[in-house]
Amino acid sequence: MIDMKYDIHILRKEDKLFPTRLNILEDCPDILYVLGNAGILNDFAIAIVGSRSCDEYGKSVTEDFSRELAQSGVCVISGLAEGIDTYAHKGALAGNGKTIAVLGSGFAHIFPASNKQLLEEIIESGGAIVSEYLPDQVPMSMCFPRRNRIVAAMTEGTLVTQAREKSGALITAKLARHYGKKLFAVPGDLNNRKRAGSNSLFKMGAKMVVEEKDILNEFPDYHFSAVKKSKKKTSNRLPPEKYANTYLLLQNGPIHMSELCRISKQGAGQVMSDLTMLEMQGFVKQLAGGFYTMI
Amino acid sequence: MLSKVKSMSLMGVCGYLVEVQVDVAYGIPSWDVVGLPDTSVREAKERVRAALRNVGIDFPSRKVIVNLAPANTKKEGPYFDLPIAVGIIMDLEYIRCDNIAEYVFIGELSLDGKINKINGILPMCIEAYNLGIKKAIVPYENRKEAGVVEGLEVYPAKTLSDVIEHLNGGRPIERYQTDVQALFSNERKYEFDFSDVKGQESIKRALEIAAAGGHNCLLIGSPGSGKTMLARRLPSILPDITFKESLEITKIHSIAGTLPSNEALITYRPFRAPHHTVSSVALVGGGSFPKPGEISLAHYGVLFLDELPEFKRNSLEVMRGPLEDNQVTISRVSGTLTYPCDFMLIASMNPCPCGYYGSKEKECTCTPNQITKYMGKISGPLLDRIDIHIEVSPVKYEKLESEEKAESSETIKKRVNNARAIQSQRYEGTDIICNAGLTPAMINKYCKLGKEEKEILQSAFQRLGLSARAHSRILKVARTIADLAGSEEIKVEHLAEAIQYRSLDRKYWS
Repeated sequence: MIDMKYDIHILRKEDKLFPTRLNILEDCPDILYVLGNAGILNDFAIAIVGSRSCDEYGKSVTEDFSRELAQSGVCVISGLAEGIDTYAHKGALAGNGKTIAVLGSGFAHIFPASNKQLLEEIIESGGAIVSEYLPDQVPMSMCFPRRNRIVAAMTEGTLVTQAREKSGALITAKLARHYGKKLFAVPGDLNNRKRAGSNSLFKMGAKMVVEEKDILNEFPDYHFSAVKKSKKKTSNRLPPEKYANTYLLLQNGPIHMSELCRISKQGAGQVMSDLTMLEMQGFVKQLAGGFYTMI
Repeated sequence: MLSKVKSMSLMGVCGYLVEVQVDVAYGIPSWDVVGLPDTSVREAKERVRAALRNVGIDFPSRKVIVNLAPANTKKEGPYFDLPIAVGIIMDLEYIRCDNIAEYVFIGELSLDGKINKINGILPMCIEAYNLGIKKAIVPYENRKEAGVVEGLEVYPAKTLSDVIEHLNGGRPIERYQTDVQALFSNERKYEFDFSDVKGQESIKRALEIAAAGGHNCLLIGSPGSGKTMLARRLPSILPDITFKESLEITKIHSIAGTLPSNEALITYRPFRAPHHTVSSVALVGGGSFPKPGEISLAHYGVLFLDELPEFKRNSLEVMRGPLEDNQVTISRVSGTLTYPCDFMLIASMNPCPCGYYGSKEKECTCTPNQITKYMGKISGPLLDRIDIHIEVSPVKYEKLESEEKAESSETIKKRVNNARAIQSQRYEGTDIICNAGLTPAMINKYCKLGKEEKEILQSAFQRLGLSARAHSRILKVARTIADLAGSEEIKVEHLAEAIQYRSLDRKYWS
């Protein structure tokens, strides 16, 4: 039947490990199925949600917030969906923090399938996978909005990093509001209305956040214990002399490699080679479409 | 009475001798062609009969039997009209010629006695020369092509009467010879030149490397970014063509009938761009009477597949073998043929179904799932045969207007020629001529890395998330970059640049 690598913990409502925050739900599930570390379900947690389709900006914002929150000891909860959810989990893993994924299907039917590896990484890192559905439940469209209510209820607050105007993430945000949780949002680009669904949340009273402290400061009673000293990159680190010329060409924002070759006085070959070296040493980053940006 | 006339036919890219034996005997009048003729050969009967009448020779009311020897191979095509007609005329004693055995006759007749152009004259003439035949009578329109074969006396004939007059010694046809030296000394101009390309420096560099090492190349970019425009210019920087290569290219085009009528030899590298609806047979060659496909027509040149994911999966998959072996073998009931196909594959594709993933101009509307599916249309094994991937981005309008003069193809080609010279020296005595052909064992031998370089490559795999299949591709491309720089060893900068040309291996893509 179902080939499972990990043990499934079955938590009943009465169990000690069952997330008590879920009790505020009128239709609180009686049973939760959990993979991995069931002991973290009652930890202080923040949900990070957003659209499945996101751009480079949404990706980097999500990963940064998630990593930094995780480093501050916050458990990051999301839905293991494509796009923002995936980056939220990845960010938390990168910050060596805990993360919980709440599924809208049974454990035997991970959706999307491409995230199976991520699921294993979450479990191996001491995180947890939660579902209210029996393991053989296939994913159905009605399941996902119901999943969102658990995401919203299991956390102290919800952060929307990037969303379309009609995104499922906004459902989660509204539910969080409904349950009296705190709501945070990252401002979106006003010119790109499709990607600026998070801006509508400000009208509902969401708190605008620009760094992870904006979220943490909302919970003065809680004492955050940093998991590890954050290894924040020092912005004044400079690349070796050899590559400095190429590096400095990137100071005005992302630029395509062809354009770099053109404005550089060195040959195309030299520039391409410099870019690889800079990227490997962590000074620049390649974006989709052959663009490069400073980190 | 029996007469024997020599003619030629084709098997793959080679000609072979066919002896046309004509016997005109007393008996019930009939007209038969034996020796496995196909329909077009059988129809020669009607053409020959009409042509004879129209040059003033009455077709005999006798029993005529024509045998095409060897009788066990299928004969196709209209090559035998002329030899059959000559055979009959000899039997009727309108021609008195003692040295008929020195001649080979190739040509199609029209009803009025005119000799029409045929395909594949070059390979037939080459084979005729190899067999020690001295003289060839060929259609007038094929004279330039046939005249390339040095040592073979080529007599181009316009009509059947010309042939009769020539053989009888009344009005000899003048021998034709093509000036091969002149063909090659002429400045060979390509229609498209890299000097027209503004910007796109990284792509030009990638194509230069591709040309220098013979690497297959994949251009990825949004619509209108100039993928096709760049690919069209690639032949202009490929190394100069040699006489041998030219002869081989011309042979294939001669058979396929794609040789421009006023050209004796193809002295430029072919550029073939089949549409994405192409069938697998049209791509690799085949048919019940096999014909060379697009990959063979691109022999020693460039095969450009625009919008690669739109091609039918099975059409692309059949190319895998030929890409590796540089030849394609077609097996049919009638026999097995081999066509050469040593080409550079240049493919282009959009980064996603809508075309704008990663573009700064327009927002991409595809879901990650759609993109994965789109990428999945190109199989891993095919991708494995493509050494260079590069992302193309559209040039901004201001840059199109700029007066900056870009490097001309001539300058780039000089560097390519130098790099190729180094390679051909290095690979002397081996089967390969350029870096693209390096086998795993040869990579170990010729792409040795120093300690520092090894470390760089290792950390590149870890930090940039390259997939394992990139390893040998990077080494090959790095070898070419080092050759372009005239460096004996592969240095760090060569390796670092080569890593740039593997964008599809990057994790972020999928």
